[in-house]
Amino acid sequence: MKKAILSAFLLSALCFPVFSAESDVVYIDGWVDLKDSSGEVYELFIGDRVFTGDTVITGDDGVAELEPESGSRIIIKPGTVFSIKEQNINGKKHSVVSTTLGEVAFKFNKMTQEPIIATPSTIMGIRGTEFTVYAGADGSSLVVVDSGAVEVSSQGESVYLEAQQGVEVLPGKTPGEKFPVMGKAVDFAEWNVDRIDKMMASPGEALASIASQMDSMAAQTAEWTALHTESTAELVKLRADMDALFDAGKDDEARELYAGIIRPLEITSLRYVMNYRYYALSALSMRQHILSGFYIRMKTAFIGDKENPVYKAFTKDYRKILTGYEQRIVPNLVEADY
Amino acid sequence: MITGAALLLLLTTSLLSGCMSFSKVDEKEITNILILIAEGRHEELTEMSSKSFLLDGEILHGIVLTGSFWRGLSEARFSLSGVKIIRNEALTDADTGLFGKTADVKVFFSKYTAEHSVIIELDSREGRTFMVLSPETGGIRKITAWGGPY
Repeated sequence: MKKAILSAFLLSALCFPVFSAESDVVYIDGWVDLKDSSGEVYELFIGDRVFTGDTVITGDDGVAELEPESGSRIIIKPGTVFSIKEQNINGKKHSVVSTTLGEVAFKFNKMTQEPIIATPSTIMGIRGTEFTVYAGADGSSLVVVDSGAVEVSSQGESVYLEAQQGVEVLPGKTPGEKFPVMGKAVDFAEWNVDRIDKMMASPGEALASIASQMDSMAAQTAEWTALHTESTAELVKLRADMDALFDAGKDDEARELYAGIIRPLEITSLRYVMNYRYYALSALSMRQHILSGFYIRMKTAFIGDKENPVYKAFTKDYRKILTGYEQRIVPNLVEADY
Repeated sequence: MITGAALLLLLTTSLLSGCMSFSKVDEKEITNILILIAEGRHEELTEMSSKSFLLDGEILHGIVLTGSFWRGLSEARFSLSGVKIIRNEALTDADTGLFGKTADVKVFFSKYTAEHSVIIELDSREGRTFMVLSPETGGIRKITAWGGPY
């Protein structure tokens, strides 16, 4: 169980649970869409509110600024996919803000409650922190800290970043060496182009990294689903026991059973649901934004040369990923998720 | 003088022609899309695409990914040549299988495709290509899905 909680992945996405992720939209420039929890996509405007389950998608010229609470800011840059999810960490429900693709800058107010930052496996504390998360088209991530401190974890290893430091995390790998930023701005577009060039130069390797990340998500989904199935079976048995006690006129014992055992198990069971849904939705996001983006690049690059062995190998591996996704992730999704 | 029977016939014909307009797209509109592709006018194609778009079996939400598809075709200088319109008719449940049999495809057609959408099947030297076009709303018709060329 502990292993299940601790086994790590970073996604293409670094995920940061914060104190209150639901946010007001305070600034919009260019084209910004919102995909709500029912899957409807519409244009986002100043004054709207972004809720848990929502995804903000900025166009090539779009910028959105969110205010999760007074004094704090989340700035979503052009070409970004950013969402608010929920996860249960150590028995407590947390909003998780996730950057699947693109660039998001976070500025947390020193005066607010200290936010928690986490990947799905690690909890990190930050205070008075300004940092930027870059999520590349190949599923890699770059974190740069302007002020304060952030601990970045992936695959069970962590690095502690202080002001003017950054780290790159390649998909499915542990964090790289931290590097000094020395006041110069990191050019996300340039970094992302470099990641795309590497991805297109070795599509098999890049696809294997994406597959590895999706496997991690599928494994996490399966672990939490198994726990949920187990707890549901236990609840059925316990509720039958409770009914039998009521039938036998032992109402006090029945109520005691409910309050002492059934109710806590119901809460635990809901926690399992929240977590397997979190991982399934993370895999869906990976499929819809990273894998799709890679598919588009390969399809258009080889559209006049479909018999090229590189493209044929890509499509074979891509279909294999989709088969795994269909078998291991799709059963945990509902139509509204898409 | 129009008799009752003639009026009924006229009404029926009008209704039928109304239905016919749902099940077909003016070939000029198809030609226009093919011209935009051939001329690499990806920004116009992106604007003409629905916000939730199906490319083969992939659901693309938002204009970034859809735009990158049309831009990618433009950069590849892609066009369809020797095009013949094989089908231009109302989309049916059976047509969804043309885009794949995955859950994503099924959900896309049940959730993001408007009633009275039209399936276009094109044969060309590049292969067989499918498009789904939305019904015209306010003079605007959107490209909802693209499959191929296979």
